[in-house]
Amino acid sequence: MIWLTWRQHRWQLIGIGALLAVYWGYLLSAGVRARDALSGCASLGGDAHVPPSCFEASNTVDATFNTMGEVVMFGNLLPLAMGMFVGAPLISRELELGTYRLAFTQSVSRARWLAVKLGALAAAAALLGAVTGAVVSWSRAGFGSMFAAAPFGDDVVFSQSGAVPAATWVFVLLVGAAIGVLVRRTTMAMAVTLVVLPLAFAGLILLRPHYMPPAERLVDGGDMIQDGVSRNDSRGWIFSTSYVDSSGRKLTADAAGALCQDPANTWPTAECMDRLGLRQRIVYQPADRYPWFQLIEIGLLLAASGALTVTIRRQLTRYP
Amino acid sequence: MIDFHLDRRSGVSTYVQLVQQVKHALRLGLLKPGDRLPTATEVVAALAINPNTVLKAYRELEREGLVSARPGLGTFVERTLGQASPVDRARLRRQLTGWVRSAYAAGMVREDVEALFTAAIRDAAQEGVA
Amino acid sequence: MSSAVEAIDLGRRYRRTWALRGCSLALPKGRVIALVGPNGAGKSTLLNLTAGLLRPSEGGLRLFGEPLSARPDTLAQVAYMAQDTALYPTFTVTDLLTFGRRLNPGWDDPWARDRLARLRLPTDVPAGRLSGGQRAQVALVLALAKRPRLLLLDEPLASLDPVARHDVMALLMETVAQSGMTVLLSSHIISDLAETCDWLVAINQGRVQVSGDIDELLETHKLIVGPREALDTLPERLPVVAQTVNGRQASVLARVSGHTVGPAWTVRDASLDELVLNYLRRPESSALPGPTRQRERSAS
Repeated sequence: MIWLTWRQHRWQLIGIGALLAVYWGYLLSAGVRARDALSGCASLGGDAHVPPSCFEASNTVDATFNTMGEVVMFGNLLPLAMGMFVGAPLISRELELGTYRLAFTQSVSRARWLAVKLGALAAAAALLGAVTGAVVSWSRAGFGSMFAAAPFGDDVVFSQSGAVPAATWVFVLLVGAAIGVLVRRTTMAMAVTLVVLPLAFAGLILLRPHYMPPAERLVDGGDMIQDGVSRNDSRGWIFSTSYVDSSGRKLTADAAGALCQDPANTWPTAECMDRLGLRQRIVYQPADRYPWFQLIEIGLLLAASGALTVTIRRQLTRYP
Repeated sequence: MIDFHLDRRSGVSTYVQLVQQVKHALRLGLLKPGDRLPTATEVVAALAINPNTVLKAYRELEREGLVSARPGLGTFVERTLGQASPVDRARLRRQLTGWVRSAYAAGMVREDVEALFTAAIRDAAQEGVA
Repeated sequence: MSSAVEAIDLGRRYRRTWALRGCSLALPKGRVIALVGPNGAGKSTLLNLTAGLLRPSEGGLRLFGEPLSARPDTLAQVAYMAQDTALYPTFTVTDLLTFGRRLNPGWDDPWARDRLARLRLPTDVPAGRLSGGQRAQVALVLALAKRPRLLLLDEPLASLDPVARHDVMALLMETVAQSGMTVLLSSHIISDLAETCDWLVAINQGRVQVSGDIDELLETHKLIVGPREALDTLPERLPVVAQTVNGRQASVLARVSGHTVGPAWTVRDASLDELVLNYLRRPESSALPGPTRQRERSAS
C-alpha cells in the first residue's frame, strides 16, 4: 500500500519537494549572508562605537531582510500546492477515472486503503512543514533581534514558525482530499481547493487573536510602548494602547497628547507622562503565551484534520 | 491427437460437434485405441468454450464405450469405429469418388448427390442390409 | 451445499429510481453464469453489489454462505473486472503486476508473469497506451492472478474485436477448467455466451426474469409454430412465455413438459438467443417461477 501511495503521487511529491527545496535554499542563503555581515558588528543595534563597515553591513542586512520578508509571505502559499496537487486528486481522480473499482476490489479494505494513503501522505506533509518551520526560524534568527522580532503577532511569520507549519501541511492535504471526495471531479476539486484554502487561512488569521483573552497592564513612562510602532514587542503581541490619568480617567492617545501640549509630538512622551502622572494601559498577549498560541493553533488544525478524515472515511465507505 | 474445431453457424450444439469429430476421426483412422484425447483445459484454451461442454462430450463417448477416463492420466481411446479393413475402405472410397464424379457429369449438384446418397442409405436399411 | 452467490430480496435505489429490486437468486458454485438483459436493466448494479462496490438499499447478499462484508478475506475471494477495464492509465504492465502482488496475499505471481509473457505485451508501456484488447487481457490476468473463488466481469467483451474476444474467453475458460471457480459475466450480446456459459440469469427492468441451467432451459422451452387461427387449440395450461403473430403465422415460446399440441403445430427447439429475446420482450413473463425453484420443489 505504501508502494502504491508513492507510485501514484510520486511526481506531485517530487514537484512540491523541489519547490520547497528552492524556498529552503533561498532562506538558508539569506540566513548565512546575514550572519556573515553581522559577524563583525556584534554590537549592531547597540549604542557603543559602531565601526563604519557596520553601516554597510546594516544596509545589506536591511535589503536582504526586506526581500526575505516578501519571500516568506509568498511561502505561506506553498501549502496550497499540497492541497491542490496531492489532496484534491487523491480520491477524486479514482472516482473520475473509475479506478476505484480496481482499487476497492483488491484484498485491502477501503478503510485500510484510506488509512495508509492519508497516513503516509500526512507524514510526508508534516515532514515538509516541520522542515519549513525550522528553516524559517533559523534564517530569521540570523538577522538579530532588531530586525526579526518574535513571530508572535506577525501573521506572515507565525504560521511558518515552530511546529505550526507541520500541522498546516497536514490540514491542507485533508482539505484537498475532503473536497475531492465531495466534488468527485479532479479539476473541479483542485479549483475549489484553491479557493477554500486561502479562505481557511484568512479565517485562521482572524481567529488567532482570540485564542486566549488578552491581558491588561498599566505602565509608567519608563515602560511605555511607543504608539503605532509595532504590533509585536519583546513584551508580547500588543493589541492596543490607551492612557489613564492620575484620577483614573481613560484617555485616547490623541487626548493624552493634547494634555501634554508638546509641539513636537501628538502622542505623549515618557517625560510628559511622568510630568502629568499619566499611565499607559496596554492590552496584549504576553510573550510567554507564544508556546500556548502555537499549541492552540496546532490543536485547531489537527482537530479540523481529524474531522475531515472522519468525513472522508464516511463518504468513501458509503460511496457512491 | 485430434484438433477440435467449431462450426458456430451449423446450429449443431457444441458438445454434439465434439462427439461427432471424435467419431469421425475414429472412422478415418486418425485416432487409434490407446491414443489420448486432449484434456478439457487444452480444448477449452483452444476453442474458448465451457469446460463442462468438453466433459459432457467425453462422458457421452465414454458411455458409448469408445473412450475411457483414467484418473490423473487423461481420456484414452478404447476402440475404433468401422469394421472394414483399410484396404476395403480405400477401395470403397475410390468407387464412391468415381460415382460422385459421374453424378456431377450427369448434371447433378451437391445437394442432389447428398439427397441421393441419403436415400440410398435408407433404401439399404429397409432391405435389412445395414 | 451453499451457493456461490445468494441474493435475498436485494434492491438498490439511485435517488428515487430503483436500478434493481426484489432480486432473489441462488447461483450455484463452479458455473459460468451469463447475466443478460437490455442496457440499463440492472446488470451492472447487480455486479457492483456483488463486488461490494455498492451497498444494497434493501435486502442482502451472501457469498459462499457468508454475508458480504468489507473484510479482507471476503475481498480476497472475489475478483472484479470493470466494464471499461479501469486500469491506472499511467501504470505500466509491470506496475500493475506489482500493484496486484502487494494488495493481494493470495497473488499468484509466477502464473501472472507467465501469462503476460505469453501474451507478448510490452511491459514498460503505460496501460493508457495499450489497445482495448491488450487492456482487457491485462485486466483479466490481474483479476485471475488473485486466485478468486468468484470472478465478476462487467461486459468484458463489449469493446473487443473478434480475435481479442476469443483470446479473452479462451484464457477465462482455461482458468475455469483448472480452478473450478465461479464466473458471473454480463453481456448484451447473447451469441457470445452460448458456448461459454452454462447458467443463465436474465434481468429486465430491475427484476430477475430467468435463472437456470442453460441446457435445462433449452430442453424445457420449445418454439411452437402454426397457423394463427389454431391459437385457441393450444392446451389451456401451457405456460406460454411469449407469443408473436406474423401475418397468418403464430409462434409461441412455451415451457413444455408433457404437453401435447395439435397436429396444426410444429414444435422445435429454441436457440438461446430466441429464448432470451422472447423473455426480455415480455417483462411480465417474470411471473414464471424460475426453473431452479421448480426443480427444488420437485426434488423435495
